[in-house]
Amino acid sequence: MIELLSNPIFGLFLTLICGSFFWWLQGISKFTWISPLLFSIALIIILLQGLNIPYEAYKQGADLVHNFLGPITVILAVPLYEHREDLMQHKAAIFVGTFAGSFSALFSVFVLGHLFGLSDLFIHSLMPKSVTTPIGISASEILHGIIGLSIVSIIITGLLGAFIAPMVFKIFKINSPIAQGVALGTTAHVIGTGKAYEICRICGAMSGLSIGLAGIISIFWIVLYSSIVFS
Amino acid sequence: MVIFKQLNIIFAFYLSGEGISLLLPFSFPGGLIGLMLLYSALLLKWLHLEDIKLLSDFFIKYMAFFFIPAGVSIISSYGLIEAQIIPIIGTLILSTIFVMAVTGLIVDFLVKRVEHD
Repeated sequence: MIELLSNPIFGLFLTLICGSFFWWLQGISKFTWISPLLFSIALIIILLQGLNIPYEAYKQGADLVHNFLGPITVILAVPLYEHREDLMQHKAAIFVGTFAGSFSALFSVFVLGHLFGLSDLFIHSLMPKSVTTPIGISASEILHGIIGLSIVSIIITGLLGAFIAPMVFKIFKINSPIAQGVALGTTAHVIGTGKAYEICRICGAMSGLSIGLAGIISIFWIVLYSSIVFS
Repeated sequence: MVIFKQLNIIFAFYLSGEGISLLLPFSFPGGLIGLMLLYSALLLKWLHLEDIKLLSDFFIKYMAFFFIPAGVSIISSYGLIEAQIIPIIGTLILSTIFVMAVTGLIVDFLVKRVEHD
């Protein structure tokens, strides 16, 4: 049995079958709150633990999927290119916003983490939480964080951001669609962008381009931070 | 053949980025360098959007699928995280509200100032 499970195709198949099931379910049910990603992760964990399958056996095949994250980061250039005119039209507001937003994400995790008494390992794992996942994983690696925790915190932040956005916009009187879009993309990456497209097209476009931009800027902040902390 | 061709282009940009990253004196993700190379190539018209459109649309639509393995890796450190779950969730909630408000307020202010002028 263990020989079969150690076959790399096993981990690949398990990932593919769970993923395609939940994406299919989301497609037919129209429940936007269903996160196929979160559900797939949970089901695979339950299956591995319930059937006593060693994580290492799964990992062999799962790495085949995981290794695509590098090329996917490259592809984030495409939405950035497609929305370049929207970007140029409001460049000052967008650059200052994503710059301040990504800094406040790192800074607030640093301060809150210390207030809550988290260790450096946890604080560093949570710091990439607003960064889009393929870039966030690189960020977690640079910070020597727990990559699995970074991923889960990125997903939770995305869901949370999309959920609280209408309240935050109301309380702080943020009514320009450009500001709402940049805030959603910078805070809640891809999941926030889905929410932004529900508000309006320009809001969605702004959110979409803020993802890549905030990701790049965050990496600069993180490289700077880690050169101070780890030297 | 279209898929092969588009994969080759994307992999070539990615590996070039990784290659350049190895030459840098500090650690910087190769994927991001690849992103900047691809963006420049599109901007300079060395490459047309149609040359990668099919695969880039696919990967962007199903991007989250490729995060599954990284998410599952949390089981190897679950014992460590369990005890800290409340402070972790607290940090995430407060920080998300803070970042959303700061970013929104700054952009809102700048956009309205431009419109006012």
